Formats: sequence, structure tokens, C-alpha cells
Amino acid sequence: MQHNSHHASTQQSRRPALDKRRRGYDVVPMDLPFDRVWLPYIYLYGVGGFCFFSGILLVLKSGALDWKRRSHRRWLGVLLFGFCWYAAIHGLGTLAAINL
Amino acid sequence: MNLPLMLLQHAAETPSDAASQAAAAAGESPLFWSILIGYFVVVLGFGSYFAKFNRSTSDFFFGGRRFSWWLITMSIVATGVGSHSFVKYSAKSFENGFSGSMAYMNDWFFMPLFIFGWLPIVYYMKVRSIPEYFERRFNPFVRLLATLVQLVYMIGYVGIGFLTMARTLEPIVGGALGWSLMDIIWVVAVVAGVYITFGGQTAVIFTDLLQGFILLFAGLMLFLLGLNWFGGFDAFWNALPDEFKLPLANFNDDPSFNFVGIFWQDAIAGSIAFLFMSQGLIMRFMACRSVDHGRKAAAFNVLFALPLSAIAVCCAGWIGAGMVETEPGILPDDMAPDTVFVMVTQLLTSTAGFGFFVAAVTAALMSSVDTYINASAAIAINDIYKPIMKWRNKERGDKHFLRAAMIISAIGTLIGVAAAWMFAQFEDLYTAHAFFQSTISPPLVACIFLGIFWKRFNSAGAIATFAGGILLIILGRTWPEQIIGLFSHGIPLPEGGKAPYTYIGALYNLLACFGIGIIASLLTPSKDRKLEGLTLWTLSYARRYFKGGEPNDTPGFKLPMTWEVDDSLAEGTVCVDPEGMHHLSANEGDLVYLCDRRWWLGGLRSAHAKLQGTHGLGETVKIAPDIANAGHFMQGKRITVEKEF
Repeated sequence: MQHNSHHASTQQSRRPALDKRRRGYDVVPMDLPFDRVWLPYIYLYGVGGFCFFSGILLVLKSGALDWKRRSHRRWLGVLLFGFCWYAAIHGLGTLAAINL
Repeated sequence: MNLPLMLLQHAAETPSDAASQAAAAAGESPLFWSILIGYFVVVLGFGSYFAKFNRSTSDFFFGGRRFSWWLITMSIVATGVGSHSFVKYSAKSFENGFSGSMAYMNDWFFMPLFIFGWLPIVYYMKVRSIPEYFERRFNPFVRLLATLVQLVYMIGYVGIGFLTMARTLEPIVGGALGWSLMDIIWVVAVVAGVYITFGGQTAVIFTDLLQGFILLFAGLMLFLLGLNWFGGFDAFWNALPDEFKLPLANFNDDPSFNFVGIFWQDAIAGSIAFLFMSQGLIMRFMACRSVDHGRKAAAFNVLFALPLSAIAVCCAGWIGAGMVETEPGILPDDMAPDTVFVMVTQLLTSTAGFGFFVAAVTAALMSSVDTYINASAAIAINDIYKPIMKWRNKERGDKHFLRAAMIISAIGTLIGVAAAWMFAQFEDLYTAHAFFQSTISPPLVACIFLGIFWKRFNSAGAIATFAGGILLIILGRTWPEQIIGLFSHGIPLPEGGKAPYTYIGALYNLLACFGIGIIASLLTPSKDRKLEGLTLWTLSYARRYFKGGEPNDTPGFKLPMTWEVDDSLAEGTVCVDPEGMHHLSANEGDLVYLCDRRWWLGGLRSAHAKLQGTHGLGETVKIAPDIANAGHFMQGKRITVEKEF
């Protein structure tokens, strides 16, 4: 069964962390490489950011986002806030995970 | 421990063998069944009460375009959470930790194009279904292709929903009642079918409103119970392996769960599909009282409701992963990850609490299924039945189409059962779902996206995207290593002959569909383009089309007024006194929104109308009989009148 075999491999990967804790480590030392920790983040907000800001440019250039209308300017602010909001959640979550 | 925790939690020293059998034991408890059935009766009864507000097909499908953003937001939460399911994401979180929630946290990238592009187009151009958009943007043949693909997509989702519900309930009721998987599918299909057939969109929206709150409450309560089991957040956090704490998965190491594949499959293809081609979601936004309320609903949902939903649906997996580290053996070693939600919930709650959680999750799935059945009926009526009646020169009233919509909902439910049976033949639910979604959605996604944002995209390009795109996808699935492997970002092939490139295949599928659509459009003339109001570049026309005249954006006041019916007024019109006209900053022909003053009704008693003439009655708005009927205004209750544009 696919589930069971996959789960078995996952269980094995967890054991080292458990063994270390049993040997008395309160906090397991962080030994994950940079590309494991930050490469997904850079890719997410690099490629995802390209899509996002391309979208902003497109709606501005087409006039769908009318800079003269106050409600549209407010929505542009909300859009930029949302991008920063998620970048902050993922960034702070990563920092918390590596105990910084 | 506070009272809710005491009521829900019982001692969790249960040995692992008991944990694995507890779900089955719960199925034999009368208390469990009382709570499960009671929950369904209350939730469905709540929604069915609102079925009386259906007076037309517009009400049945779009809720009369009158609801406030907060009501639509909670309704979307229930549909989103239900379709993604507690079961699936708990399993991924159990195996991978916090990165199991990735799919819930990457939906913001296409919001500019949705908020300022697709949402105003479908709302102002009154696009009732995605295939209708294809006819207006291209031609009837493209509409036919889109209708077929869209119906397969919708009914497939109904089938997936039935199967997920059945798989959730199987460990509990399979032993107690001796029901097979298909028996359970039939029972949930009958309940869902009866409900949606008589309820319609208004009932679904109100049922989802209630369930949205309950699901978030239930999921967050489970998280608190889990933290309580550990003795606090610090103990839980320290129990997790470091890699499990990271919010994003490994880049490309693990073929069964990797960041780059999920980015293309979910953040790109999934987000576009969810925002731009989900008929169910579009109908939710069409039910909003205005485009601005649709924007608020979308923004609030993605910014705040989705992160909370991520905690709610994933926490059982996180808690289970911590439990395994803290107390090895508390969960069975051979436990399938798909069962972790049921196992952890059972460990943390009493029989009554367990009944409540199971009821909340299955009812959420019911919401998703209901949404897709309702959406399938909308497409069948608007894109197949009405054109056929028009072609045969048969005039039919709205009541006829409303009755037809109910019958089609029932038929859609039956076909959904057949689809569930078909998906049950796959190795597991996840494989069936991944295969289905990655094959069906890319051609529609590419067509919609190019249609909205690229003026040069034409009918030949759209047809090539459907026909050629599907062919290229089939080729990719036939020779994955040679074709999809070129885009694999270094993801290794899985061991044991499992299907390769489950996630990153989406990148190839999207490139194939977009590529063939762009090439075909560039190689053919573009004289058949129909663009007014239907693309991002021609959006200014859409507001004029919606109003039937030039928009009036002068700011005005919202006026509280009494109301009375005036039989002499033309259909769809209202009139106020000259002073009211002045305060509204309105002119004759402007659109106004009339709403019961009680905000918490969320627009249930409201209507849109056009201003026509003036009278001398002061603070009274005279309304045409059809507006009074559509608005469900209560005698003696004042309403507010505000100009739209």
C-alpha cells in the first residue's frame, strides 16, 4: 500500500530527532542546509512575486485600476499589504523554525 | 482547564490499540449518532429555512446579487475548507509538519488580476457561467467545448466529494452498521441531493455561513485540545523535529512532497483554477451586493480566513506528529496518514466531542458537494437547456426553468455517485484527485486567462487550447520521463513504479496549453474578437453595460427611509423625493441599492433598482411591486437607500 510504505519512511526520518531528544537535548541543533531552509522562500516570493507585480502592472497599464479613484488606490494598498503579510508570515515562521 | 475543554476532552492515556479501534467503537455509540444526526438536522434546517427566498433562477443560482461581504466570506470558508478537507491536509501535515499547510498560504499572487480583472468582468457583464463567457468572448462552438469540460470538472468534484465523505465515515460506520463504501456514498448523495434540489444558492450560502463559523471553531478548538495534551505551546513546539517546523517543504528532494512541484500545481495552477474557473466560487461572488463587496470578501478570505483555516484543517496532523515524538506507540505504527484526523480527534475528545467533530467535517464536505451540484445545474440550465429551448423557439417562464434546475440538481447528484464509484477504483483518493484535476483544469485555465488578459487571443487559439492542450497533456502522461522530465527542476523519480511528477506535471500542462493557444492565435486572423467589457483592456464598457448608461460616481449619502409599493411604477424602478435625490447625489436612471436596516441580515432583505422620477412624499421611497417582492422587505421596517453608480 502506498500510504503505509510512505508512512514507514516518514517514521524513520523522525527517529533521529526523537533519539537526540532522549539523549538529553532540549532543542535539537539546527543542521538543515541553506537551500533546504531559504531556497523555497526565495523561489516562492521570486517567481510568485513576479506573477504578483506583473498583475499589478497589467491592471495599472490597462486602466482597470484607476489611479484617480480613491477606492482603487485603497485597494492597491490592500494588495501590497497582502503580499507583505504573507511574506512576513513565511519569513517569521522560517526564522522561528531555525531558532533565530 | 476551562469548561469547553473539560466537556470535550477525556483522558488521553488510551493505548494505541484502543486508538485504532476507537473510531469503530464510536460508531456503536447512540450518543455519537444522536449528535451526528442532530447536527445535520440543525444545519440543513437552518439552510432550508432560507429556501423560501428563492423566487427566480437568479435567486436560485446567484442569491439575487444582494449579500454582504462578510456573509459571502464565511460561506467561502465552508466551501473551501470542505473541498480541501480536514482529512487530506491533516495527513500531509502529519507526514511533513507545518509545510503541509502550504496550499492554504499561497493564494495571493493572482489577487490583482482577480480583484481588478475577472471579478468586475463577470459581475458587470452579468456572466452567469464560464461557458457563457466563452460564447460572448469567442463563439458558440468554443462555448460548447467549455461547457463539456466544465461539466466534467464539476461532476468530477461532486464524485470526489462523495468519495471523501464516504472514506471519512467508513472507519466509523463500516463496522457498526456493516455498510460498504458504496452504501455510504448512496446515503450521503441522497442527503446532499435532496437538500440542494430544494434549497438553491440562498440556502447553500446560509448553511455555509453557519458551517464556516463552526468549522473554524471546531478546528481551532482541536488545536487547543492538542496543546493542552502537550501541556502548552512550548512543549508542543519542542516535540516537533526541526524540519517539521519549517513552513515550506523541501525544494525538490522528495518526489511525493516537494516545494517546487506544489508551487506550480497549487500556487499557480490551483490558484488560477480556484479564482478564475470555479463556477461555485464565481456564483458566490455574483451573489455579493456589489463588486466592492466581492473584493472585500475575496481579500478578507485570503488574508485572514485562509490562515485560520490552515490551522483548523492541519492541526490534527501537527498534533499527531508531536504525539509520535513525545509518546511513541500512542498512534499505531502501521496507521495510514489519511486516518490521522480521526485518530487524533478521538484521542483528544469524548464520544460527544468526537461526534461533533465528525459531523462538522462531513457537513463541510456536504457544503462543497452542494456548491458543485448547484454550479453544475447552473451550467446545464444556462448553457445547454436554455439554448436548446431558444433553438426550438419555445418560450418558457422563469418558474419552468426553476423547476428544471431542481430536476437537473437531482440528476447531477446521481451522476456524481457514478463518478464516485469510478474514483473509488483508483489506488487512493489523493491519486484520483491529482490525476483528475491536473488533466481537466489546464485547458480551461489557459483559455480563461488568455481570454481575459490578452486581446489578441482568438477563437482558433481557444479551440487549439482545448483540443491540442488535452492531446499534449495525454502525451505528457504517456511519456512523463521524456516530456515532463524536462521541466522537473531536479525532482527524482519515485521508487516502486508510482506515478512520476505528480505535482510538477502541472508546469508542463500549463505551458503546453498556454503555448498552443498563443501560437494558434498568432498564426490566425483576429477579426472574430468580441472584446467590449470582456477583457481587462475593455473594462470601462462593463460598468456602462451593467447600468445601461453612463456611471455616476459622485459621492452621495445613504438615506434611511420608509417604503411603500406603487403599482404605477415600471418594473425594476423606485422613486424618491427631490431632496432625497439631492442627498443621494443621484440622477434619474442611476442604480440604487435598497436594504433592510438590520445589518446582521447581511442583505437577505434587499434589492437593486433603478431611479425613476420623483414624488413629494418626503422620507418615503416608492417601489415597484416586483422590487418589493424581490427585496422581501417587511412592512413597518425602514430601509436604507444608497446610490450605486
